[in-house]
Amino acid sequence: MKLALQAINDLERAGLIRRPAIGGAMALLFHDEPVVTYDLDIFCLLPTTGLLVSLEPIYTALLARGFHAEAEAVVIGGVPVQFIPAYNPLVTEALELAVALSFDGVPVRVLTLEHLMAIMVQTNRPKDRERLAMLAGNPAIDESRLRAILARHDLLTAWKRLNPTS
Amino acid sequence: METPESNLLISAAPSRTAPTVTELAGKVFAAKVRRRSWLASLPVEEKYRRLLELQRMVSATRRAAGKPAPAPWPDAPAA
Repeated sequence: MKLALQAINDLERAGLIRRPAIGGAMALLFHDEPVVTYDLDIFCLLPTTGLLVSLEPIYTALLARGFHAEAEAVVIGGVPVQFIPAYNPLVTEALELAVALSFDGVPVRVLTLEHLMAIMVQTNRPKDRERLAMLAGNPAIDESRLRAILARHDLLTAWKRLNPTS
Repeated sequence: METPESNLLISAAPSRTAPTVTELAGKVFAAKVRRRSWLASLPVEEKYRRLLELQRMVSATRRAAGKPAPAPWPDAPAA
């Protein structure tokens, strides 16, 4: 994964992506117990403004470095990396407030636990509900911060539906 | 940390020389909760090592069941 993180930082330095941050199950690794996943999800802002956006410059740059594509992912050092451009205000906010951490000496940004949870509430796949259940009781969750994020993005009702006792 | 599993522990139970099945099960569930909390507190690099182990186990299990198995990530972090 170290090579993948270094390549992502290189993309940011080259201006091809902005504020990349680890999301999804790999982000949970930084906040909770390890869970099985086979993808590294990288949320990011794209430099292109307007309605038309493209990940092609990212793929072109990575393929030029000798990495190969596999479906929607680029495999870097054996790790399938999926680039997910911010697709709504919650994800944009999550990227702006991502925390700066490190992995094996490589600087990395990671979505906060509360933003990860809010995105899971919003996406609401069975896998998301399963992960939210797994996170219940994690003392690292800032409950008031989570509620504030959910309220800002109209997710309190959805959260109450998933957690009737909350 | 209160969890559904730890609620299995009997409160105000009379002392016995041998635990009941429910008490034993409660202890097992409480130990699982403690282990999960301990796993969450490990350094991320150690958690990553355990993730690779999980991937290998899952892939091996799926192959043994004749199902398609995603490729585990390579061990050594490439520089």
